Amino acid sequence: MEIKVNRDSLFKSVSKVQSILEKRSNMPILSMILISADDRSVNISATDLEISMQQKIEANVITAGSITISGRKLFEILKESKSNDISIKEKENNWVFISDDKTQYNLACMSAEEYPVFVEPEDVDMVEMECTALADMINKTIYAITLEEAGYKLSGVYTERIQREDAYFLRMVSTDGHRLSLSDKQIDNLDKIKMDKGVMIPKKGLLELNKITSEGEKISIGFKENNCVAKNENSLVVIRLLESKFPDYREVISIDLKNSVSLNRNELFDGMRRMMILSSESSKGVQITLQNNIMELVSINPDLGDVKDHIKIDYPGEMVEMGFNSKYFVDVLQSMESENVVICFNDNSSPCMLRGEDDKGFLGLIMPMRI
Amino acid sequence: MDIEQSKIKTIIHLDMDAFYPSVEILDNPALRGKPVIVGGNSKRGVVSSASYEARKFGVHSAQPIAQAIRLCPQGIFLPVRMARYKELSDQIFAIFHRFTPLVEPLSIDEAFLDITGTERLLGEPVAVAKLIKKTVLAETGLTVSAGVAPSKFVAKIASDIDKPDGLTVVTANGLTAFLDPLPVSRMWGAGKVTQDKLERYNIKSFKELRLFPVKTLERLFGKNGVRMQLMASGIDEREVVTGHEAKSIGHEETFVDDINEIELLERYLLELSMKTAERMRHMGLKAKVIHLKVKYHDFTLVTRSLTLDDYIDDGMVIYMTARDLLGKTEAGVRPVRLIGVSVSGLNTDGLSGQMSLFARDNKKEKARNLNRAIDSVNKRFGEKGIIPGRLLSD
Repeated sequence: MEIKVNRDSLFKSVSKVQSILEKRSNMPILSMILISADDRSVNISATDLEISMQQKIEANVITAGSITISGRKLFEILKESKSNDISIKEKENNWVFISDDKTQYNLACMSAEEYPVFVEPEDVDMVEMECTALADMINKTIYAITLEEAGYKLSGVYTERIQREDAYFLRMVSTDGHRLSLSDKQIDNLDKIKMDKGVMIPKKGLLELNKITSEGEKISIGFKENNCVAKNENSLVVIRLLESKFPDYREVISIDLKNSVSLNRNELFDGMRRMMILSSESSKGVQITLQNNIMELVSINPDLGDVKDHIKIDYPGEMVEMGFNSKYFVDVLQSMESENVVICFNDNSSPCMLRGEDDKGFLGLIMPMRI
Repeated sequence: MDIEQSKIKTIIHLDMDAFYPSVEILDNPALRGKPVIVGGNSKRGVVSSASYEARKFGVHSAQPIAQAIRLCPQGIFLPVRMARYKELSDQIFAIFHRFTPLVEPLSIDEAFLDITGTERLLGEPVAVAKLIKKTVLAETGLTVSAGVAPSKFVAKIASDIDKPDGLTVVTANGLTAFLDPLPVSRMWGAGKVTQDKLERYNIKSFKELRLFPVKTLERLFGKNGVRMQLMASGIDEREVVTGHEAKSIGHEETFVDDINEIELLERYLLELSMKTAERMRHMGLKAKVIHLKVKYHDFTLVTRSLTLDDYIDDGMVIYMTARDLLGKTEAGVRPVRLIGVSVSGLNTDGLSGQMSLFARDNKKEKARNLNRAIDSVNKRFGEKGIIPGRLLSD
C-alpha cells in the first residue's frame, strides 16, 4: 500500500477513531489503527471488538492495500507534523514508512491480516434520521445509565420501535433502578427496518454515536443480528449490542399521577444545584414541601449544616412532602430545554414525572427517597 | 514524627480475661478452678477459648479440639454459647460507653477506649481504668485486664502483661523503659517467619529493633520494617475508630486443613457472608464494596473486590458477589488455607433510603423484613438459630 493524503483530514479521522482503542488491552492488535486503500479512497478503522468505527477520506492512492499502525503513535506523528501532505508506504515485514516534507519515520507494525474483521454493513436495512434528533435522544437518556442493578445489566440504553396510530417512533429508555428517562422521536420509514424487539445499546457506543451526529445533518441507522449500524457520508460505526434484560418499564411510566405543578425549569434547576452544595455521598437528599403556592426545598447534611430555598408556584392544594436525590433532578432538568417544567406526583412513595412542552416525547421519572 | 509534637493521647485497652470460659464459670460456679475449654462442636472444631487452668496444660485458642483433648483429657469441654456471650458483651460495652463515646470494639471481648482529655471529668487515667474494672466486675461478675498507654499498640501490649485481672500503666515518659526489654514476638504483625528473620540479624528485643538501621530494616521487610521500628519506639498514630466510623466489616476463617473443594469453600463463604451481614445490620450499616480474601496453602494472599451500585446489608447478596469473586481466584486449583469476606464503603442505614422504581424493590423490602426477623431469632437463640439450609450438613 502507498498513499499520499492531506494531513488535516487524516488527523481529523484518526482523532475520531482513536478514542475507541483500548489503552490497556491484552491484544496488541487492538491498539492499532487499520488503514486500507482501494482505488479512490482510504478507510481509517479502529475497533475494541465491541465498537468499530470507520472514517473514509479522500487520498491519492498510489498502490492499494492495507496496513496497521499504532493508533497513539500515528496520532502523535500527525499532531507534530506541520506539513500539508503525508505519505504512508508499506514496506517489507510489516514495516511502515511515514514521511512529510521534513521527517521520515520507520515504524514496526502488525500485519493487516490479523486485524479483527468488520461487520459488512451493506445488507443492513437503514433508516435516515436527523442528527439533532438522535443527539437529543442520547443526551436525554445517557445520564441515567448504570452498571448493574438488582440483577439487571443496565449499562446501556434500551432502544425500541413503537407505533402510535400510523406513526412510528424510535424510543430510548434508560434507568438505574431509581430513576428513568425516556425519549420518543417520530421517524419516517422506521417501519422499513428490521427491529422486531428492543435492543440495548451500550454507553460507550452511544458516546461514539453522539460524536458522529455532529458531522452532518442526517444519519442512517439500522440493526442486524447483534449489531447497531450507523453511518453518514464518511463515517461508519458498528456497535455490538448488549445481551441483557431490561426491566418492564411500561408499567412504571403508565402510573396514574393525580397532582401536577408547573414551574420555571431554570428556577428549579438553580434551587436543586444549591441543595447539592451541602450534599455528600451519603446525603444527597432534598426535602420538597408543596404548600400555599410555595415549593420549599430543604437539604440537611449532618456534618455541614442545612440549606433552605423556596420557589413560588401555583399550587393551592393539600400539603405534600417528598424526599428526593437532588442530583437526579439536576440531571433531568439539565437535559431539558423547555422554559417550564411540569412535575406530576402522588405522594412520598410514588415516582414523580417531569415533562416539558418543548421537550416533546421526553419524560423523566424519579423515585423518592426516605429522608 | 516526633511524639512530643502531636498531642499525647490516653488509650485504654480492655481485654476480658478468658471471656468464654469465664462466662461458663459465672453461669455454673461448680466449674471454678477447673480446666474449662470452650470450642467448636465438631471434630474439625478448634478451641475458641480456654480457662487459665486449662492453659497450664498447653491448651490455647485456635488449637484443634482433638489436640486439646490429648493435652488435657480431664478438661471440661463446652460448646460455644454465643448468644449468652453476646448478652454479657453488650452489657460490658455499655459500661465502656459510660466513660467515652470513643470505643473501638476489636472483638466481642476486647476494645480500645480513647479517654484523652477526660482528666478533669473523670480523674487520672489510672483511676479511670480502675473504675472501669471495678464496674465491670460489680455489674457482670467478670474480670477484665486493662492497659493504659499513649497509643493503641502499647496499650494492647500493656493489658496483656499482667493478665488476668491486670492493670498496667505506661506513661509517655516510661515508654522506652517499658518497650525496650520486650521480645520481638510481642510485635504486632510479626509472625513466625518475620521473627525468625529478625533473629538471624540478632534482633531479639524491641530495643534492638529500635536501634537497628532503618534502611536495612526497610530493605529486609519493606514498609513493614519501618512500621515495626516505629512501633518498637512507641510511635503509633492510629486513632481509635468507633463502630460508626468503621472502614470495613468482615469475617474470616482459617482452616485446620487446607481446602481444595470449591463447594466446601462456598459453604464457608456463605456462613461468613451471613455473619458479616448480621453484624452490619446490628451496627445499622450498609455497604457498597464487597471484598474477598483468599490465602493459599503457601501463605500467598490474594484479594478481589467489587463495587455494587447500591448499599446493601443482605447476606445473600454478599455471598453471591463473593462467590463470583472466588471464581476469579485460583481456589479449587490451589489449596486454600484461609478465606475471608468483608465489606467497605459503609453508609448508615437510614440515609440510603432511595426507593426503587421496579417491583424488585418489594423483593428487597421482603428480604429486609426477613433479615430483621432472622436477626431477632438469632439474638434469642444464638448465632445458629436460623441459618441457610446449605450450612446444615455439618
